[in-house]
Amino acid sequence: MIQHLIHIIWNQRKQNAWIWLELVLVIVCLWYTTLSLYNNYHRYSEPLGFDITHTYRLEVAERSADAEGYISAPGEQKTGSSLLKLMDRIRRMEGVEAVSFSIASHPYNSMSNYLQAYVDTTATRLLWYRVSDSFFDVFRIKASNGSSLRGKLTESSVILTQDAINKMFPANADATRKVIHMEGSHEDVRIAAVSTPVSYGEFFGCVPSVYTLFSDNYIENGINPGNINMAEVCIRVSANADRNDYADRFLELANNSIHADNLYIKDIRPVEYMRYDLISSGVKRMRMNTLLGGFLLISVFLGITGTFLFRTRQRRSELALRVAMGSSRNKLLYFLFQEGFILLALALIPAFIIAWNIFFATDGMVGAGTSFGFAEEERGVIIRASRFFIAFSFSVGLIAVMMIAGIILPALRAVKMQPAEALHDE
Amino acid sequence: MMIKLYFKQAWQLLKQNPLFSLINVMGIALSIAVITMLVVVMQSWVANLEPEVNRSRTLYVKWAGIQKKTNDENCGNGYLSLKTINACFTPLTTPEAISVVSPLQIQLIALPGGMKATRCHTLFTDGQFWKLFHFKTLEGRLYTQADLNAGIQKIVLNQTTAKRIFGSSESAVGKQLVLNYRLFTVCAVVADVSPLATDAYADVWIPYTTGQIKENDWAENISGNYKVFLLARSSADFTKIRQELSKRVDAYNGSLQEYQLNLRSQPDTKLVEFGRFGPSDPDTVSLILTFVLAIVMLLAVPAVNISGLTMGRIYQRMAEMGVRRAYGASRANIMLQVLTENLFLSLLGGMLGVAFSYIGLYLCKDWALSSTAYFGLHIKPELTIFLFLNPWTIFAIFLFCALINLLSAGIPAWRSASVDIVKAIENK
Repeated sequence: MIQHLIHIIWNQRKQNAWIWLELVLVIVCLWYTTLSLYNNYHRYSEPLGFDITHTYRLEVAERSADAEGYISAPGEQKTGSSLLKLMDRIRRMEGVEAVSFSIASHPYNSMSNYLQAYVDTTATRLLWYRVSDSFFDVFRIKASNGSSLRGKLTESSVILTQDAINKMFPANADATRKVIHMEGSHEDVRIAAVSTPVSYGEFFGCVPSVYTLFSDNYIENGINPGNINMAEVCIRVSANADRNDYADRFLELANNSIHADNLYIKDIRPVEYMRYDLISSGVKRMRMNTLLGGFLLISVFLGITGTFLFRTRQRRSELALRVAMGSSRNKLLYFLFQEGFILLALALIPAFIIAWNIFFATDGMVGAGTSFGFAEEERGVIIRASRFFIAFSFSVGLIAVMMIAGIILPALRAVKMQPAEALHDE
Repeated sequence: MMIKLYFKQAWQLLKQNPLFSLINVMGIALSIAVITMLVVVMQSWVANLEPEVNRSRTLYVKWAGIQKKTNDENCGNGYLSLKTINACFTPLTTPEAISVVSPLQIQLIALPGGMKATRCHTLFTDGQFWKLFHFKTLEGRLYTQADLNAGIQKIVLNQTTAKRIFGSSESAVGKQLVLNYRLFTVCAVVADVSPLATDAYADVWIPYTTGQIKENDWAENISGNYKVFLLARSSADFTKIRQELSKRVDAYNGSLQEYQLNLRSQPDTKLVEFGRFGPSDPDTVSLILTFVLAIVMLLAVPAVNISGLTMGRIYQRMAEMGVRRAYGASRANIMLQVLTENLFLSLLGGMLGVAFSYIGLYLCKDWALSSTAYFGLHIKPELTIFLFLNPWTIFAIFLFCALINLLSAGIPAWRSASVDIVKAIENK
């Protein structure tokens, strides 16, 4: 039977060549977009190690001497102590669960500081987060054993992420209470706790990181009018309080009653806004791939429908003869589908060879995913043949579905004919 | 005259074979739709868009890399400080104008006397800003370089903000308001600006000397809070400006003690500037390559698709071609006929495609037209019809329609023209 079908396909080669070429082209293109999408999605869905739902970032500013409502100081007034006062007031607001202070550290803030940490004389480059103790509550960052990190961090200790520990102490599983030496400091610091690996954001992946403390003492003395604009005050709000217009209501309330000395709250926005922008190029790429994939599928559908419409019309008398000779309509339908699928099978072989070569030449198409300049060795190599096969089968599967959809209309039209009428043409 | 006949014939063929024609037209429409979307997105980055009418002859610098002199190691990044700008940019003689602008800020705006303050997007600019960008002034007069130097607290509002605070743009000029609790006088009201104009967009604009941006002493005050736009007399001057700037930067670095400024590949053209986010140079080459690859795919797939269909139809009409040849039509005539007939379908598909692309882009404008210029501010882009009516877009759409026509009917046209006359008439 199959031999017979191949014979028929060969006899119609002039037309089949086009549909075959289209199938090869579309399989390769669809495979490419699918694999690229898969690579990207894999990075997108890696665990983050933090949770930004119901969190907001506040911007705090200080009134200048010529500003409306400026309070001239009775004695010395420190920006730092005002900030502590302000944070305390925010903490007591209804619905606020935790308030944290940090600099260039909250998730998705788009900044990054690095620090060299030494074990004996071996240096490791770590992403450096400078945070207050409550930071771990606001962003729900947990110790690697699942317990809370509250109260662990002190001025003479640090918290390292699990991947930093693995890198710095490859032989040793339990690193707590060990000491390390930080770049630019004269004293050794203790490792107070180990957190789960923390991602820089979707697509960026986890980077070995270190947390150091901003104590109240530091905030009081270290924050001044020159650096208050760098202060990140973040809050976690209870799920009940966090309704659509929370930010607006908060700002209105803050305008009226939440200020400390000359400090006021200038802005509040969901951390989600920053997430949206930071990961936008990766998300754009994924959406673009989806769009192109959709285009390819519709193209295949149109191509198959057109070709089979044409073919069944041209071969009307042949098909009629088959019915007249006792072939049932179901059998005829089956026959047409078989023809389509043999074409697909014939297209699979060259498509597979082309795709495999592209896959190989581009090192598993890691480049089709986003890497954002983070060193590949730090993220683990992603050359995995399994992804190739999953993406390939997935795209072929989708094309098969489109083939069925494309053949069904012309095929039904063809088998509905009256054999006598069709043969009359002859 | 003949062309008109071909079009008539094409119309007849379309009526005879509605299903085929539909498939044909849809295939082209789909491809043109996605291509148009890509072209429009690209245009939103680089087109001379009101009020940024000089994008094609402007160079952009926004990012300062700070290095230790001893080992060239990068130790920080930021916008530019006024110190750096005054040393490296202000003395440049080749550009026609130089403008110093802050990135977009959030400020609280209110009427004096404790009314409820609301957020507004603010730009701190110099007086040259109004020369680089052509704002439509509705009322009053824009602040000048002299106002900037004197630190006069003037403010320019857009129409929406003027209406929101004062009720109308006419009544706003000359009135006072507080921005971050500091008193400003409204000097002008301008028409609203589309967020697609990523360098000019704001709700209010003030002279940067009144913005109280603090200079940062760290690393010899190289980095700060400003971007610089250099307006060249024409884009031919870009190389000259780069050379002049690089001399200035060298001299500036010579005057610094411990650190040095590294501008990397800046100043940027608009296209490069759009992709610049973060410290490293953007990979514009691979961005363009992605676009080109996508467009090649978008052309090739429907071309193969439609070639097959057209081929089938041509075989059916071989006798007709044979007769025409027998009566003296040249090969070129036949090719022209097939191509023109198909062009009719291509143009139909093209028009449908542009309509699709508008709908498509409207649906995904939030991500497709978004920009990193408004990091974290949640400013949603708008789709302006200008991006479609822009001459470049229209030219590109026609070009791609013609290209897709040639690709999808070229081979069938050639085949039909080169077939043996006798065989064609026999229809074998």
